Amino acid sequence: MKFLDRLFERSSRKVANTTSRRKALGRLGSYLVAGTALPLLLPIDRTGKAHAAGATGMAGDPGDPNSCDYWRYCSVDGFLCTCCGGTTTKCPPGTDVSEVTWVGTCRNPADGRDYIISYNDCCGKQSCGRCACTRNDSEEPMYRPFNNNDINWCLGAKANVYNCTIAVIRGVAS
Amino acid sequence: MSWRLNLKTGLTVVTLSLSLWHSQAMARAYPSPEQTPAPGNEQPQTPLHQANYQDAVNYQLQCLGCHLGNGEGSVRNDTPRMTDFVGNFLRVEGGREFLIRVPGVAQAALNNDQLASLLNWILTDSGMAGNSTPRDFMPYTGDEIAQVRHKSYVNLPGVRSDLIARMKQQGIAITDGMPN
Repeated sequence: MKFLDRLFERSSRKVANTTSRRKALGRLGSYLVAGTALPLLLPIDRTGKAHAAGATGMAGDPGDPNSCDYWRYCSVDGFLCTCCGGTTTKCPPGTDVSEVTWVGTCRNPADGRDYIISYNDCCGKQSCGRCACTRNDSEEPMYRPFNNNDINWCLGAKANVYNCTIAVIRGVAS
Repeated sequence: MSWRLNLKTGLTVVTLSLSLWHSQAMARAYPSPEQTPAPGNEQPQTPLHQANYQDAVNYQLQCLGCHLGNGEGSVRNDTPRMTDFVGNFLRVEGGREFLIRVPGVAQAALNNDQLASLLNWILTDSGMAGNSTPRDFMPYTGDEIAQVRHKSYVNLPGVRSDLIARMKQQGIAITDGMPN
């Protein structure tokens, strides 16, 4: 025990002799400031945040979700909810997501894989009118209604008025 | 007179340009005719009957939109519940064939073997059919699908209600959510 006592006494005296408390406090302060500033200053890839609206938890989601060119919209026919107060996966406030929908696939240019995309309509408010897109890469003719995007899928909602469309990733098609 | 004419012409010009501007503003709400495929999607997609996806993926692409994630169905949209029920069709006469000829199955964008596999996947007792499938269920084959698939029902709701009536005769609880 005496040995431990002596060890700690000596080491703390050594620290006290060789360092200044004020300086330590000052340094600690600057570390704190630098520490909070660092994440803001470092060149961190923030593209993920830009797509937080459609956060999928998956890496590699290139493109602008407000544009018809975004890969997930490869079969969208209607107004993009991202331009109408919603996100790629959430309906705008005041609208309900249709219970029934149609499901297709789109290829993600980041990894070249086909993803299962559910095109749910948001319903209950008049047509949004912004970001009108017509892409039909995965669509089938009207005689296969369960793969058709010309249908007003709001037929499955409480109010059948169509507002906009979201594109939910349901998994990888394999 | 000429002053009036000028005023008239001026008004017409203003009205015309206004209506032009208006139509242009409206036109922006419609998709561009020069729309090209989404980046990475330039190549046409592999048709489903050639893609050979897993049954669970084919279910998502062809059934889930209306029957929902685990076969819950959507009564509001006349989509029956399959969960823990659909296997009961195998217990009544004509039911096995019905599950092939029902439009959602018969008209799916899948080939006969894929359809057989998908039906078996739904009907296995670890699938959404659960215990409703009889123990002696013989899995569907592509040949069986091929023989029956092209025969459409003239009176689909009538056939279905007959099958449900047969189930009731056997004392099977009808839990498909439909107003039978």
